[in-house]
Amino acid sequence: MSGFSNQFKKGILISNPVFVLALSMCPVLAVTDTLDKALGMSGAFALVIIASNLLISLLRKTIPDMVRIPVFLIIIATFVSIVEMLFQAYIPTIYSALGIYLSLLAVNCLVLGRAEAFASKNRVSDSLADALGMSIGFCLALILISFFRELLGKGSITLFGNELFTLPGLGNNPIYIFSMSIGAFLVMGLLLAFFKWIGVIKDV
Amino acid sequence: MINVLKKYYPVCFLIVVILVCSALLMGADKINRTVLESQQDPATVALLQQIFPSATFYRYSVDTGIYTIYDSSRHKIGYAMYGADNGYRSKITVLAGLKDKETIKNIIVISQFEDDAYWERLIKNKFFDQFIELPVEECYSSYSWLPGGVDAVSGSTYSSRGVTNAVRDAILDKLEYLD
Repeated sequence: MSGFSNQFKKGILISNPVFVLALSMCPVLAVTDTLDKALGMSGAFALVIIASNLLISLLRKTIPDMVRIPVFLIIIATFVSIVEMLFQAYIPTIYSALGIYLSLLAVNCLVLGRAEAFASKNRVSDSLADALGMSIGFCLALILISFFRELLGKGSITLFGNELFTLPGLGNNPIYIFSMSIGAFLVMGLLLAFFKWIGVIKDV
Repeated sequence: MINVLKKYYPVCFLIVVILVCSALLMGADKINRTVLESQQDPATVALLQQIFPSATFYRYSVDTGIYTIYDSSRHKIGYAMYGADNGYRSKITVLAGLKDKETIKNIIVISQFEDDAYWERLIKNKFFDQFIELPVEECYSSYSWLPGGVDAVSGSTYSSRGVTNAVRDAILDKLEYLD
């Protein structure tokens, strides 16, 4: 169980996919302009990585080495398509907002990387712990970045259509740059610097 | 024999994975289609099919008032939105269909209580056909009596203006929300 817990914690902090490994930057920077989209992408990512890690780990002894990458890609793409259909049917607003970035999970380097580097070589329980840790680490990073971007770029935080709060002074005069792509880089850089300064992240 | 099996095992495995994944996707697609169909109002679909004959699904955004329309393969084929303005005797409500941000697909009149003689003149003179494939810019190129691109029917000018302004009302404020 300690192996499970170590692997789980690793993805959240020590090997945080966004702040430490700096992987999957494309969706991170593109969908973090609002908290809604960040949560949607986190959910999709979690479903895909958990399902694909589990299946690949289960099949790891039967997958021929020669065709392992095509097999991983087919499995991941299948789960991405299923998640897309789920989102389209049940949360169409988030589905439309995420646009192409949801489909692009099929070629996400983090999902494929975990399948190749971890799930295909480890037991199901460890692969599950890795997928859960990575999902939570990815989700926390997206929530943090989107929180600051939405707060500063829009002056308020809105979650699924309900305005949670407005920042006094910024409500009517938000700093639009934070809603733009450059704002994502700024927030990410500042958060990285902050985490390094307080010593949470050591290997940036 | 064992050697032959070993040789072709990777290819066979890949084929099996592809077949299983295809079956999974077909199942998921069937469920997705059933869920989407259960969320559709048949009357609205029938209305939208008057503009987009291949319309099968739609999504309505309460915030923007835009219907996004999909065909049976769930590919987006256009948008539709309601607009209204006053004609000669009544308020004219139209449903305007857009192929994309630039082109109107067609319009249908949802309600009007204009004088029959004036309204029939519009139909007889094929006034509504002018909106088929009309560039959207023709709708806001001018704020004069009637915008460029749409000619009023002589003797039914107020009704012509009502329809045109209703189309303009439908699309102009919503263009910025289209993907």
